[in-house]
Amino acid sequence: EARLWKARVPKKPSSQDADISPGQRDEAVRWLADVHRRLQLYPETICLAVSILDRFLATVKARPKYLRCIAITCFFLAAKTSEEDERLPTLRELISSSSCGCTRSEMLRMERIILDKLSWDLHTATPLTFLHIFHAMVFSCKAVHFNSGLSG
Amino acid sequence: GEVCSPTLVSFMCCKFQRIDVSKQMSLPMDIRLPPEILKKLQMQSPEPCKPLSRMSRRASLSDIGFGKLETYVKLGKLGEGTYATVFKGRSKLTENLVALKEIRLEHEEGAPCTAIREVSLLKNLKHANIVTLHDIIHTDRCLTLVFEYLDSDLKQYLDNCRNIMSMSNVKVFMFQLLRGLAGELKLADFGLARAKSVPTKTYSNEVVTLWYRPPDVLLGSTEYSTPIDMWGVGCILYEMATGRPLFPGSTVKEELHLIFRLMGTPTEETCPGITANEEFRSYLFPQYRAQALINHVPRLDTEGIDLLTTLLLYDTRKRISAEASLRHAYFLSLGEDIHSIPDTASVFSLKDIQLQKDPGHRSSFDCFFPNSGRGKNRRQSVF
Repeated sequence: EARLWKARVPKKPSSQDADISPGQRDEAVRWLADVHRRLQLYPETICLAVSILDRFLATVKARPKYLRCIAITCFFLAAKTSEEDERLPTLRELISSSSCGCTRSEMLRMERIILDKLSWDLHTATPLTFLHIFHAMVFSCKAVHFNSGLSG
Repeated sequence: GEVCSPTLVSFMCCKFQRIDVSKQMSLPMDIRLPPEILKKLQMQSPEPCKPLSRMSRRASLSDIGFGKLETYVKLGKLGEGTYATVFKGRSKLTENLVALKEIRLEHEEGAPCTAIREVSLLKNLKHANIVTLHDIIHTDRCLTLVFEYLDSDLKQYLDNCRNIMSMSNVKVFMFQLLRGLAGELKLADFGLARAKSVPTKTYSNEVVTLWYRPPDVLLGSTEYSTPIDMWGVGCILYEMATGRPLFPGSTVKEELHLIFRLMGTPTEETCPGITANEEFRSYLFPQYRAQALINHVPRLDTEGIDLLTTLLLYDTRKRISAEASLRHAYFLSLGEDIHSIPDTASVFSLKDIQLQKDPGHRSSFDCFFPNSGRGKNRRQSVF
């Protein structure tokens, strides 16, 4: 069991500029949360974006200077997966409202890399999925307790 | 839970078993281990016989020919939409037939969201009654999805047997359809289903037909949930048993009108909350009484009529679920074993489950009606 837990701890990068540090990752996530708030999208989108980002960063070694481009592209992919078609921000909107400093072609190229590295497996359970399940469970438990309290 | 036991051995067994079943597989799907499972593998057995690393696995997969367009030979066009063209093809690896869905990428916005949703959902669904996605080829201009090849869809099948299907085949097909939906339902419980509203366009960008839509959706409900699909299942049961679509409306109003004329205009009793629905009130439908379904589907037995009735309930809370319908008395005659076959195995892996010859099948009728190509393009696509 110890090994199971150990494997989840992110590796310490050997040198700061060679790989993205956990702190930089957290900063990118906070920045994405800001973008998300401004665009007023579904909570599913930000959760999925973070999940895609983490899974991608776990498979590749990336330089910190690409982090913003990676993060905003993960966000774009998450939005495409979970938003309604009519609420989907366009690439142009996303670039201007996030001021990520990337160009369209950079983002499109990054999109292909991310899809390829994750072999198109974008859908996954996120913390929000579990929250939904627990929420439903708490509610159904409440109802059962309430009813048994009445009958007992 | 879609995660199988995390050992290579069990994957190999699983693979061979599936080949034995002789389902139309182009490539052994299980070669492509999902990353989660691979991660798990690496975590649990880091010692001597370490499985392939991600890099070497990727390299070896592409050596085999995965992800390469050269691996597949195009044979002929099967269909074309605004979003994709589908070709029949053959895999050079296995010599099996495949369906190649080519999606053009002239898109300004990168990979189309329809493709992203389709692929990432299908990758999570592994079930004998859900079409298998074997491979993805992503180039600058074009995205090609490689699917298992299916002989024909239900529409072609019905056309082919001149709309007269054997009732025992209707039962087997219904069971398979519900099995597929029940599987999806399990996954949907974990939040995999994205849709919160009902899409008006299919993946191939066709406008979805109204014929299989339940009245709650036609009246503006945006709550996408499984009871919606169950109404459509009822429509398909009727269509297989009679050879005619149940409610072939071309506008929302006509569709509702057809439904109400047969099933009765909804009342507060049959459909709680309906009297408060503005849209419903604005249509001012006459008060139709519900008709007996048996008069319209005489070939369906009593249990079948009962199943059809519970599928076509107005009240979404009372409409039967996919799981419950698999246990419906209608399917009792298929035997008890059918409930214990694994998700990935076909119902035809049971000896007792066989398709009968359809009474209207072409080969047996062609000599009598040589040229009665009954309106080929009459039926719209279901999904």
